[in-house]
Amino acid sequence: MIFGVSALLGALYTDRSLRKVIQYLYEIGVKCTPVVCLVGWFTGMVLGLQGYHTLSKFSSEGLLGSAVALSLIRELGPVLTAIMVVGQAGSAMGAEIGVQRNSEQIDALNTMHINPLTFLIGPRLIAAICSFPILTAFFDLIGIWGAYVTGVLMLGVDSGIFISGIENSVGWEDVSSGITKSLVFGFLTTLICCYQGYQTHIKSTAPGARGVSQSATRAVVYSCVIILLFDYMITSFLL
Amino acid sequence: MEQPIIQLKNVSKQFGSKTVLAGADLTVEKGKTTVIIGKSGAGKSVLLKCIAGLMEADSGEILFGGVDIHQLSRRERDAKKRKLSYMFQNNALFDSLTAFDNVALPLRENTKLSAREIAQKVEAILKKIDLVDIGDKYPSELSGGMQKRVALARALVMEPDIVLFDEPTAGLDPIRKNTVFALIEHSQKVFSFSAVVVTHELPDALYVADQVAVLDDKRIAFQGTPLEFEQCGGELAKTFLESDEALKNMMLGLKSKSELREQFNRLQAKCAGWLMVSLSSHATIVERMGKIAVQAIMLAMVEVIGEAPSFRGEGFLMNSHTVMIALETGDLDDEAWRQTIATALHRSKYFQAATYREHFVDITILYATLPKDAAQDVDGLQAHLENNLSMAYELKRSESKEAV
Repeated sequence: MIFGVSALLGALYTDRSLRKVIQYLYEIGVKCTPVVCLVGWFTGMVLGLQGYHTLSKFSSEGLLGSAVALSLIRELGPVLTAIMVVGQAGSAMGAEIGVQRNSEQIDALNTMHINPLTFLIGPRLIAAICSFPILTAFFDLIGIWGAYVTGVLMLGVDSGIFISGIENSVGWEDVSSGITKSLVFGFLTTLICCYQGYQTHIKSTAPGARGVSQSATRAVVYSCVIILLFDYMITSFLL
Repeated sequence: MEQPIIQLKNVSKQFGSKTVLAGADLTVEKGKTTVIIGKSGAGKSVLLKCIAGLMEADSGEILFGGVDIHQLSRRERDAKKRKLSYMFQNNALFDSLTAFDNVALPLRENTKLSAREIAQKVEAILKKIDLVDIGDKYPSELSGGMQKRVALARALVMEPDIVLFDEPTAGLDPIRKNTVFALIEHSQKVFSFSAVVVTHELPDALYVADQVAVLDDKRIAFQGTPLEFEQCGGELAKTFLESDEALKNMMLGLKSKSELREQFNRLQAKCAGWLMVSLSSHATIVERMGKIAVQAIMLAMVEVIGEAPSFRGEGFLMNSHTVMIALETGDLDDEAWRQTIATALHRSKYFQAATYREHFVDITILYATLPKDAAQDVDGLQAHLENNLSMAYELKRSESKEAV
């Protein structure tokens, strides 16, 4: 945690971080958008399909919109977005920093009197904290659209009931809980991925390329576990 | 006496149960090049990283300009370390940045210079070390030698007072090795920094060294000038110097200087005189054509001298570019020697190789002869011969072209 806070503060107080933040916004935010949208679309479609068949047993198809929206906004959106971003950008971060550690590029920064935490980690954390809520919002919107396609266009649920169900059930507390989760996941997963890469020479049991692959694997596995653990903790705290 | 720019006192470093340094002392003088040599795994890089602050020594003092780094506040320590730069063994260039950005990085992060001023500074330093039109290339698009030069430019761009070189010639071919050493020597003269070079490349490193420090058995076992190192006669110096000598002697079919020392009295009693042949322009040849070229020229000369019927003798290699021969005959006609050496040069395969035509340099071979009993020992004999260089054979560029 000290690692993350000092990196974040260092980057916030350095006026040269902006260019790097923009670069990582592109790496994390822009490059992850297609996969997040794709997963959001299919998740919404599956939710629409399953939700319709379950609710139709109780003649409650009209609740499909609110059921899908609440599931996505409160839980599935932040969790699945975080897992997808970890899979795409987090593993790459762990591997890239691991290679930089192994090839003495991080030591080179030290000898050039450049703080590696401020230079390498801080901008990534800022970019992740900015990107995760936006990507989560994309996921939620596209997921709801996917559920609309299956529920309304394919299975015949009334469009007005579907949309008004969402309007009536989704409140600000649901959206804020989703945003809170995405912010926490963004900070924690990026921190874990960067830390695993940064400590490649200490944490890995194997040197060289195998050490880097271990770091990348650990970065993904630990991040996924942390996402689910904190999802439960935040949910229980907010409910 | 001026205060050493860096001083290590009783520095120790341990990794788990393995002791790497145990009471190492080292002095680096201002504006000089100190070469640290030692066997692989002796702890040379660890010593250098302790100086750079990349590793903390377990005990001992590291003084910068006479001040212990640990007694300074963080700000003062940072200010001291800002005067220090480090060139890594594998260059440690950022592979996602271009050569220009790699060199500009310390300026962008540590100074308030404008983009234009940074560009001017980077271009100037790249030009100084003969790197033009490569600024937009990534490290992977550059040759090993060019990468070394970019790393050197990055190390020098902040105009440091001290530059630490960790195995700067590791993994390079002999010609590039010489180029890198020449580059270090040249940059040291141009930028006037104090250099610490860690290497196990002998004797090449001795050409650039003002001071030689030998790391052996976890401590600095010897520190002195290259001449003192060569002449100290200790087991350690012998081990380092003879490993290289043995290879050269094997190639040239000659005995070593230490063997000449041992056999001097016997030879003095039996020989008719002494002949010394020395390649005066060896430094230029090494710089422009590589060490192998010097070896090839020497080999050609030794072959021809050995074949000449009237000049029989026993040959000894004094250093990479000087051969001493204890002559069995008393015929010391200068004209005859001139002819012999001319034949030798023109026979050398090196001068026939088309690849080297464009790099060809003017060569002067100095030779001297002395009667027996001219000196009491090997060093005296060498000094006599050097002072009495009687004739020189010059191979000029025009002549070489004809020869080719």
